[in-house]
Amino acid sequence: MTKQYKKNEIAKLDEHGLIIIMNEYNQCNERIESFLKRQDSILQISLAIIGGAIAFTLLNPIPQELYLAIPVIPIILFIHISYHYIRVIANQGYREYLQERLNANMPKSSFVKYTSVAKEFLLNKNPIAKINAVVFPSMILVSIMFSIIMSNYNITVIIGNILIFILGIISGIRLKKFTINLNEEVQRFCEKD
Amino acid sequence: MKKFKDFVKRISLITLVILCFITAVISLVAGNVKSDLLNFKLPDEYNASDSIIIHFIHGSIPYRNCSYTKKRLGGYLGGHIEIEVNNKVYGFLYNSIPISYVPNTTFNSKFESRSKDKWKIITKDDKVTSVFIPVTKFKKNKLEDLLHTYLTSEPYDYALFGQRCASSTAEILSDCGIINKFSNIESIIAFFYPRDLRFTMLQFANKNELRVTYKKGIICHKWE
Repeated sequence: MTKQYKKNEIAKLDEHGLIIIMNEYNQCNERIESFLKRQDSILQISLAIIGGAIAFTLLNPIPQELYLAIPVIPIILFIHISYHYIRVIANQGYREYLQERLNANMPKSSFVKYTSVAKEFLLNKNPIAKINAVVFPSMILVSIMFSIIMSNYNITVIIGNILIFILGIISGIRLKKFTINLNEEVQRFCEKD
Repeated sequence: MKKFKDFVKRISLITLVILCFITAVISLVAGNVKSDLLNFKLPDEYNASDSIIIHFIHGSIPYRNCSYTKKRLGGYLGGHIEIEVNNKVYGFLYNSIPISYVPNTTFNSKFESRSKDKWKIITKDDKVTSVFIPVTKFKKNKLEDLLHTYLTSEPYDYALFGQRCASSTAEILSDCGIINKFSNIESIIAFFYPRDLRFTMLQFANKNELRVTYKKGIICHKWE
């Protein structure tokens, strides 16, 4: 009943209203796609930094404690990516809301369905997306192991890495809790008024 | 109950962040001291000069039924560090166990010296790594004078979070200008236990092509 009422309401939108929604939809798309492009370059840069740091530490004698900096690099990148990931999920919810409004103004043969396609095939069910979600935590784990071994099991480095690991787990759980229904929550939030 | 849970969660998170911050500060201080030591350049004057030896006795745990049961503070991560000057070996030790956590005004510490021959007998079953550091006659005399002063009156207490053999050795070498300059607190943070100083000194020796000797320890101990 509510959905039908909403559809009727959207159907009343004039050309000007539709153009606004189309613009919003395009902007939303851009925001999502820009992150995906950004993610690639972030991954490349982070791999280059970590590779460089590992090569440098293998070739030069450095104080043991400085090995603690190695896992900090992927963690900074992980935090940066996590923030943008949350933005993408929120934008995905908003895009779905806009898509519903657009489709309510169009014949069934012209329905826009990319958001549903993305949700169904490109998000959680996509095996490559799952691998991607494993890449960063693995990179952090490898960095932690590398820094502990290369520091010759220095106590400060071990304690530091344990703290980083605990903080990483807590952040990961919180991130998962926060994003698990964010898509739908954003949609509900938009449909409130 | 939920409020209490949230409160505990928040406090735990804040504690974790504070601990991370402290670890980062300690790492930076220690890293800075060690980095200066690794980049410390031995002047040319050292080439045709005297030398001193830093002896690192490794930490160990005796296996069951081992006849050699001498225990050192710290067990596997413990051990001892001594400085050899003119065939005499000097080391910083505690007077009695238990040692205090933080330095007290009444000192439970002493500097002891032994002849090289006597030291060899005492450490015949220990695993020892020795680093030879070239020094000028002037600096060697300065070091000897300082060690003699410390033999008569120890300068600080022996404490877990204070001066111990590793930090004390580093501090003495630093005071005599044999290695880079750093403060007492920096030496405590950077060289908290013998392995810290040994590892850095071995890196330093490798970089400067200094002479290093290794002596194996008795087989019924698990050596570090």
